[in-house]
Amino acid sequence: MTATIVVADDDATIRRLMGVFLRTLGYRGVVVEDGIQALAAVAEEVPDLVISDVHMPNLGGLELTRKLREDPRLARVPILLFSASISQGEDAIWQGAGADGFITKPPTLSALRETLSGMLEERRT
Amino acid sequence: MSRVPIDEAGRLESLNRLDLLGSAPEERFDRITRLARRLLGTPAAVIALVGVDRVWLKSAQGLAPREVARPGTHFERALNSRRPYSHSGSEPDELGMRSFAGKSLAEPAGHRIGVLAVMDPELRDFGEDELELLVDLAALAERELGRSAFDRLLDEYRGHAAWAQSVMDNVAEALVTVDQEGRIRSVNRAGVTMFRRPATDLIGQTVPEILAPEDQTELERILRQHLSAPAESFSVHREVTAQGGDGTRFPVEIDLGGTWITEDETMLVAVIRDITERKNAEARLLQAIDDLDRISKAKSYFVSLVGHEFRTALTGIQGFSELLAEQDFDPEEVKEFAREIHNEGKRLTRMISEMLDLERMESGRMQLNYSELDLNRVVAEVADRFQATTQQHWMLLDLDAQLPKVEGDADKLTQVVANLVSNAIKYSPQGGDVLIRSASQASEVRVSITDHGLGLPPEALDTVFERYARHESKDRESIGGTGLGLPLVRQIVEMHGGRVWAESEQGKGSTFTFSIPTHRAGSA
Repeated sequence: MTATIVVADDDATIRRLMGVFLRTLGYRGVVVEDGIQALAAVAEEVPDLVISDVHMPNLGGLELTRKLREDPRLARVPILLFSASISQGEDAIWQGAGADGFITKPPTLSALRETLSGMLEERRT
Repeated sequence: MSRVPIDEAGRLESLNRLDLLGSAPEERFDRITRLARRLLGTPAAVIALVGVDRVWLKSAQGLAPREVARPGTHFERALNSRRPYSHSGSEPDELGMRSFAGKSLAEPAGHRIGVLAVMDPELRDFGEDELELLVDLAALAERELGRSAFDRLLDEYRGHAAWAQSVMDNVAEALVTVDQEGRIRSVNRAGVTMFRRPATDLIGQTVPEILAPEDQTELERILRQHLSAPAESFSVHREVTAQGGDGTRFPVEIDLGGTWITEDETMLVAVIRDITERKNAEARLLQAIDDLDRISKAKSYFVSLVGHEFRTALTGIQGFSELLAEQDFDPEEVKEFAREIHNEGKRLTRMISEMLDLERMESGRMQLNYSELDLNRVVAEVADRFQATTQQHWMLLDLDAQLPKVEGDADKLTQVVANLVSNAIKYSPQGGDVLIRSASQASEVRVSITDHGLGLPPEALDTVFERYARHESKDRESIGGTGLGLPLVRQIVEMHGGRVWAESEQGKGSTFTFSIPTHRAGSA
């Protein structure tokens, strides 16, 4: 069965890119603009994984992660954060928020392929 | 003969202070010697001042010499006695006299400094009556010596007073003396200048009355406390606001101290310094620190924003090119990816050139190429160019046909109009009219660009022109930008001597207007 992945990013180019990336990797992508829209998407359908940008208006990636973790229905959905920020100590921040992985923008197709299959694999076991 | 030990040093000091040794005859003393000669019937009468080793005849009747050696003379003996001294002998003395009667003269402090004497070359005795007469005449002479002493003191006092006034008038601080009732008794020249009130107006006021109302109470309390129970020493330092006669307020530093004049009279001295300059310097320093802090924060923000923008653009370029390299896509998609890559590349190029332009202008390394130009033409060209890129927006022109020409840099002003029109399009994503107006106003030409897009909140109207102050909000966030466009617009307009400002109603659109003077500043 094709895995469904929700992607939240405020940059239109990156949304389009991630859409093509996921399609190319054989996933079904649900692309949204911020955390609020991501919450609406997961409420409609529990995805297999959530990818979220860290810095977004309205609801950023860290707050989105916390909200997802609060919901027992979504507690087991892996979350991958990604960010173009270059500030130090991001690791501690995303781990503290309860995310399962972090990648720096720009993500490469090969890195994304490995990270996503690894995270989805782990979830099944 | 009574001999009282004499304070020779103190006596000579008094004599020196009076400065009478060697001085010319004076009628006030001559009057007394004339009287003595007549009343006592002697051929000679003198008022002699006895120095260290000589005797100066300040006033002499019936005698030629003005000066005799002191040791062993009758003058010396008479000086050493409080009571009248007389002598008769067959041998004539150094002045050729055989009879001498003298009474010592004391100055006001009691030091004996001279002698009133009557003399006769013939032998004769001086009776008690005659000696009493001499005592009375000596008292008159002492009064004259007293007057001399008083005159000396008065001169000294005047000298001191002039000296003190000169010192007070030449210090930069206001010096104010305050009496026991807390009223100002004197004020120096600096005080009159500082408080912009004549001295006669200041004298009689209380110190709190020359301060701003909010600072009066505390100083009143300090004054009352000291004046009701004066301590040995008393010193208070305060920074308060003073108020001049014309109502101006200025910061001052007051040093208030107490001094005892007599055993039961105290005086307060207030030294008041105008610290406006220091306060201004402090404020400037704080402002500078604040500015540096703001610049430093803005720079950090700049670095993270540019880093973020660059990475975002690079993500598109890298991602879409990776897709093209790795897989086959149908031709339509290949074209679309190439367009994405191209757009992101343009975004990077624009960011870099805007950054460099702004940097060059801010550091003054960019020169304007002035020429006479018609802003209507600039506007029309830019409008045409942008109209070709959009089907959702309509460029509407309302141009003043009588618009005067301006002196300006054609390329830079084209950039200004283009940035503003580009923003108008960018921030009205739903499409609509973009109205561009030109008008002549006084000695300047104005161009305004109005859109019906997202608009700006009131607090953003000024900051929108600051570097990297791109107003972040939900609906604007997704619109890419470096935050450099408007700072660049402002820099160019201000280099032309003009202004740029924004008016807006959130949700209804914005109007950006810039003005360029019709005559270049500094040119004929």
